Amino acid sequence: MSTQTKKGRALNSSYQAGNILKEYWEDAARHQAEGRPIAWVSGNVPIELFWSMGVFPVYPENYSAIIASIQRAQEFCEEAEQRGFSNDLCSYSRVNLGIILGKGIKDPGLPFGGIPRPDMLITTRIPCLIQVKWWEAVREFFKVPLFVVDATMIDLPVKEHQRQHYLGQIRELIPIMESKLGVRFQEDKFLEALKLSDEAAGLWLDLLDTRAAVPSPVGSREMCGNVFPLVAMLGSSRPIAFFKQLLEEARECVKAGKGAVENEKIRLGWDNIPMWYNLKFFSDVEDQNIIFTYETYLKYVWGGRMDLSDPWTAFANKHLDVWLNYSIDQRVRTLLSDIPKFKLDGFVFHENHSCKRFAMGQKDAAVAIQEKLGVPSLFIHSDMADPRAFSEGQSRVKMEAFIELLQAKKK
Amino acid sequence: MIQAELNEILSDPLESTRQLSREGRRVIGYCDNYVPEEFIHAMGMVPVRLMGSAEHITLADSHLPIFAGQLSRSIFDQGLRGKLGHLAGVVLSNSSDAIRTLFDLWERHIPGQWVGLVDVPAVLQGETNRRVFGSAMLRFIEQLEKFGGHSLDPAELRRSIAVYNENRRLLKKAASLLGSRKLNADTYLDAVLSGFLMPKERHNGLLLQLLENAGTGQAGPDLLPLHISGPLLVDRSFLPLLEQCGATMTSEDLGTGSRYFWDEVSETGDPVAQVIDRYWNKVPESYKTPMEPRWLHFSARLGTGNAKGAIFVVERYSDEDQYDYPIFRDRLQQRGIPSLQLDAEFVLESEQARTRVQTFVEIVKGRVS
Ligand code: SF4
Ligand code: SF4
Repeated sequence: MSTQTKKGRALNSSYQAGNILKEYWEDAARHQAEGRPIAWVSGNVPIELFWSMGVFPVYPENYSAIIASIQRAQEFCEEAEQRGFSNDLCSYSRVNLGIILGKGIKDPGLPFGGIPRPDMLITTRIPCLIQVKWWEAVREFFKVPLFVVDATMIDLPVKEHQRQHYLGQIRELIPIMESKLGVRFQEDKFLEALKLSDEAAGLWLDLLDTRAAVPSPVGSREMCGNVFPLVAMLGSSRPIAFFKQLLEEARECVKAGKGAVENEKIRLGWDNIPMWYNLKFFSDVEDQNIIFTYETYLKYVWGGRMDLSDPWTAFANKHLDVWLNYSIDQRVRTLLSDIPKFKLDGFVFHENHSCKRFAMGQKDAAVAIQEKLGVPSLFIHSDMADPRAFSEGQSRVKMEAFIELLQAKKK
Repeated sequence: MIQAELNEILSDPLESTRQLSREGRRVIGYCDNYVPEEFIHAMGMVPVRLMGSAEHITLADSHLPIFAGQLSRSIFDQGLRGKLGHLAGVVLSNSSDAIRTLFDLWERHIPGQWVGLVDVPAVLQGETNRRVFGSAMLRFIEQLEKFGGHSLDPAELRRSIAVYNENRRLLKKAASLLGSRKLNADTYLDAVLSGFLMPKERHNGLLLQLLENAGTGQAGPDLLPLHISGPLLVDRSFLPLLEQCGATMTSEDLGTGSRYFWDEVSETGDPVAQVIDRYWNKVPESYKTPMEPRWLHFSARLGTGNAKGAIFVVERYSDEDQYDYPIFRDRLQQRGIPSLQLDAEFVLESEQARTRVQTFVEIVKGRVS
């Protein structure tokens, strides 16, 4: 079995991810400069709608993750805290509010020249209620229209009344976007966007599936860097070529039996958002013949497939079928079927202080996978963006002990 | 005399509700202001509020992270420890993410106890949400009917509505006496809280007596009038502390206060539809959007109480309220009204709270004089 060199990306195409991100933020600025509308949006909004209507969807969540990854989250979190926002609040929001209320979204010291000003704020309760509160705070500052898409939690399959709830709101949102943003909804364009979205999602999910192979062609650190187009660009053509290349490469690796880590010994899963300021956490583990090859965050949060023979139903299903919107039972069922498929030896739950809804139910899931599958788990208490919540020493010791346990079990 | 009765009820809230079960009543514990108590009452059951407790959590920590907040953690802990075994059932809602999680956990870990869910939207705007809000309430009635073994009788519901409306009117009367300083703040709080733990008929009787005797209590003319806001205020030592610092509460918009009782149900027309309407239109909680009607209620209450400042008692990890605080603070500031936020986890850390309240009161007094 051959292996790749330790450092560097397992898949060459992953090097494109940085450029895509840069282009996205530059495109957003250009879009605004050309007088076209910008909406600030959040995870799990009906993204295809925006691309099909010519409204640029700007993701402050992504921007906060970028800020975290360049080790600047703390200063903005502190800025927000000084202005009265509790340090218990979602750190994406604290970074964002710290930027807005501090030197402002156009501060030249910010990456990509800052964040374009919103013409409208659109968010959804699908992943959490926090996002709604955050957007209310943002609206207080920008005084632009706000629309919130609501949803109640689901068990699969999605129920008809939940679908109708979702679609009813989308039907209300469209004319509001038309009148507030001066754009026009055209169903053929929307259906085209759905097609692009589904194609990209299909490629992405196939890519994730290649990681069920032993050895796994690509680990979590790299995949967390590759997910952005899935978050923000579904409905545009951009992600398709990128995911296609990643998938082809990953398939070749699988065919050649080439793993992302040398001599893969242990396979792990990850739950909740990664610590963006510390993706090294993943690669440090990978240095020890261990790979993270499954993440709920990458598989069930952004892009699902759609059966486009019934596009509106598929559209609603896809947007409601999101990990954060799953009941605990649904989360447990999903893990019980995925863990054997991905041949995981252990599972790491990130008890993320910021993303509380993600973290609810983790303890039940841990018990279930231990009892039903004999797969042990580890809890890391930290935060996705605020580095102050991460205790390096403690996490390292816990991780080492966990690895020892898994190694002993494998013998 | 009434105070003694209130003390007894509130000194051990669970015991008070246990007593009702012993009397043979079907007692339903609920959490959240969007649980339509009228429906439960009309089914012949007694809704009581799950108040949680400040006690050390033991069992619930195996299921919920610390940041789920003291209220949901302590309620679940009580459930797991069998302390709520006297309840015929429990009703939870889709309010905060923590309470919604509690529903899942209840079903998974306390299987012998009926648990209902009021799965209404968080967005109180738009045709679709209005319709979905209504149908979620109807689904809750179905759950209740299945559990109760009979259907909801409209005539019974009308009677329940009348009882609840009377309760609301009496509590509003108490709030206005609070504003005009004819009712002590701590008596007022006790009167409101006790209503969560007994049948409303009995509570109405108690309130009637209390209001008859009101005006005799001395609030002390030199106490600084303040508005108190927050999702819940169950720490009964807080208002005496406030008084020791030279201030008193003359208005509030607490989740366990006026936000709970402010709005009545119209007594004409289809009673089910009217109840649903009431909950849709009520003063929204912090976990509902848009927030504007709540701000209006907040400012109106504050105005009536002639409050010179506001204290936000915010439950730790109640994120919704944590986001609102800076917004409300700034809006108040624009009107020249200072405010203070205190963190609570059911109880306020008293020494720290005392120092902060004292300083705040002095600052406000300095501005007023
Ligand atoms: S709490 Fe989680 S889902 Fe909600 S905005 Fe923050 S990171 Fe996103
Ligand atoms: S206080 Fe806030 S977070 Fe806590 S249970 Fe109530 S609504 Fe939820």
